[in-house]
Amino acid sequence: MFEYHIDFEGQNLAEQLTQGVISCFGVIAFLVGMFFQDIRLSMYIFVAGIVVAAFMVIPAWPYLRKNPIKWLPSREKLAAAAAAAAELKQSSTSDLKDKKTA
Amino acid sequence: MNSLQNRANAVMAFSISAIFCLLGAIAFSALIIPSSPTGAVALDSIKVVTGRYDKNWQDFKTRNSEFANTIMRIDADLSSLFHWNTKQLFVYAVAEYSTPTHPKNQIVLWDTIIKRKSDAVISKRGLNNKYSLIDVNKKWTDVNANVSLHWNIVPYVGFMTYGHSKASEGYAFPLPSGIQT
Repeated sequence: MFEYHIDFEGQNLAEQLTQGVISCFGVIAFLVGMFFQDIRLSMYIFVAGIVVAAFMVIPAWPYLRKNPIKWLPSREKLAAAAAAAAELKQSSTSDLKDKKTA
Repeated sequence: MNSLQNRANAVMAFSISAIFCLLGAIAFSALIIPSSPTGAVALDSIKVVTGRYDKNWQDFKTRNSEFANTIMRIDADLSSLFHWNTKQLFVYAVAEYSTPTHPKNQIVLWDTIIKRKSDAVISKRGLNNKYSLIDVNKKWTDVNANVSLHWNIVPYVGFMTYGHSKASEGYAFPLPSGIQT
């Protein structure tokens, strides 16, 4: 129902987004607070930065799942596929033989 | 950053580091914000009376201790000390004098807490000293005291800073006249 996991590229992106967004809002909070001489405003802007970062990164949005890992098929599947291929080959050669004899 | 909890943890952990940096920057910025406070205290009158030092003190039977009662005039404009990291100001008037036995004595005569910039202009007349003005030696003979206004900036975050106005002229204490009731 809900997808909680993201891929490796998404993890890298999420990390950088977290740090970038929170740092930017921190710098903006300092400058705006300094300009208006209001420490409360500064704190509100910083908390808004945390909320934005959390909203962007914590849910497993589709943009964090763009590069899913391509796993190799399991050994059993490989063996089954090999067997199927061999059978197909055999049957096709026998068909050929049938054609020749005919 | 793989799972949901992991990402929530990373966001919170980094935000704590970041807010520490922000508060540090605020604390240091408060030190370099310029201010120009002015203040002056003057004594309009000094009266010395004798009384008991303390009813629980050892000489409770005698009235030998000399108390100085002053009437003060305080003018100050401390509004420039209110910047974004000022929570409140503690303002106090200090009398400073020296005696042969104790070279440096400082006594707080009056104090107040200012919480708003709009209250930071002080203009008071006829203030009595809030706290007993009594010397260690219990005598005020041959004492010359000057008074000055001190202030302490209480910040939201960071460093407590102190300042004071220029000391006034020296005031000589008169001889005792009367008994404190």
